[in-house]
Amino acid sequence: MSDAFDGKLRDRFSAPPPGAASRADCPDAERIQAAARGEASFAEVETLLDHVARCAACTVAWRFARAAAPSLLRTDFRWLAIAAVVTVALGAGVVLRTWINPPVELRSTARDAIRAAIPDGAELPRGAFVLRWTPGPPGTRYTVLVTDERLTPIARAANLEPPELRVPETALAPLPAGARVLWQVRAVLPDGTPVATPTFVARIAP
Amino acid sequence: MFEYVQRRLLQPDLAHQGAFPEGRRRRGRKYRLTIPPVDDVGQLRPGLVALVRRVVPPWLRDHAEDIAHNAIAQVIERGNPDRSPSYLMRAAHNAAIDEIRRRIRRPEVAIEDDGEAHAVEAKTPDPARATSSRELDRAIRACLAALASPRRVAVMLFLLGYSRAEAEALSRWGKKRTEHLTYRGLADMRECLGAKGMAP
Repeated sequence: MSDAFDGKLRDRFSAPPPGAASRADCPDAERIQAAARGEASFAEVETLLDHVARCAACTVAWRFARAAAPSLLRTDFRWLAIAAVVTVALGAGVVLRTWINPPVELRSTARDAIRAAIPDGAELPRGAFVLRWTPGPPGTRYTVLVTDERLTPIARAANLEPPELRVPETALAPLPAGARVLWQVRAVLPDGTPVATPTFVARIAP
Repeated sequence: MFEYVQRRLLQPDLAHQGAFPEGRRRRGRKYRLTIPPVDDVGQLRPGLVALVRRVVPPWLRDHAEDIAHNAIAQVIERGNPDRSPSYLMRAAHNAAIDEIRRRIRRPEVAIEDDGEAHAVEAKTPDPARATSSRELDRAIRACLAALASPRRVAVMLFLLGYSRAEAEALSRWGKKRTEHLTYRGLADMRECLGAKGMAP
């Protein structure tokens, strides 16, 4: 088979000219998106492709859906995906620390004094997603920033006195079960010393 | 993902913004808790414009901004309470697909923001060339329709830009069968177009 023929045919087909024949009974955009993402049954893919073969408008629609969807080759690139996730997670940790740490010199002893009181990576139920940490000296005030893995803020509490924060279920609603939640505590000790903890991780229990 | 982090870095105060509408008391001490809003739907616009521009035919590329704008406007108008980023993105993509299809179905007229109908200017105004392009497109689609179903699917996936491995993942045919169907289907296409006196 001629590569030149194949390439030209693909170019011509994927860029229909003005006035190219389209049909009126087009499937919903959602169906095309699901099929292009590999989420539809093969029978559904066949049905839709039969339509696309006859419809210039849906040809471009499918190309859009395909370009917007992640690659179907999850298994072929699984190691690449794992490496990417690890890299992003490490990067996210570094970025989060750089981002939310106060621009002051912290005392290492004070920093170490406040630690997570729940195991790092602990799974917490949505209804009782309570983050706890070891308390500082009496009179210490805490500010807590909670984000998802993409650093999108989920909740922030300021001027806390008790060493715990209950994250509302509504704030966790957009996240799937098993999602990693990053959290960090910033404290002001009674003598005015600012302290920031490392970033801790909790998970949403299934 | 990196684009997202980049945006966060460019707006380092985002996490600290937002109103604190409700104060709550705990052990007599007032503290503030806020749930920041999700990203504005408008932030989808640059990515959507680029995506539209990448996939539409050349004669529609100049309308990529309009298409993305209309798609986002439709999502905002619907006002669905689910404003999670994934929902907004999917809704915007659906709206963009509908908008693209609308403009391809009626390329000669596009309704602009001013409510007036304007002709869409083709990049290739040569009428003879436009006619032959339409005829070729019609012939390609007729030949596709004439293919036996498995070959048609294989050829369609190829024409829509799927690699062999992706087509294999989508169809679960296996490597050999996918290759064979694609090869035979493209050979049929060549023969069919040749019989019509056409070549891409």
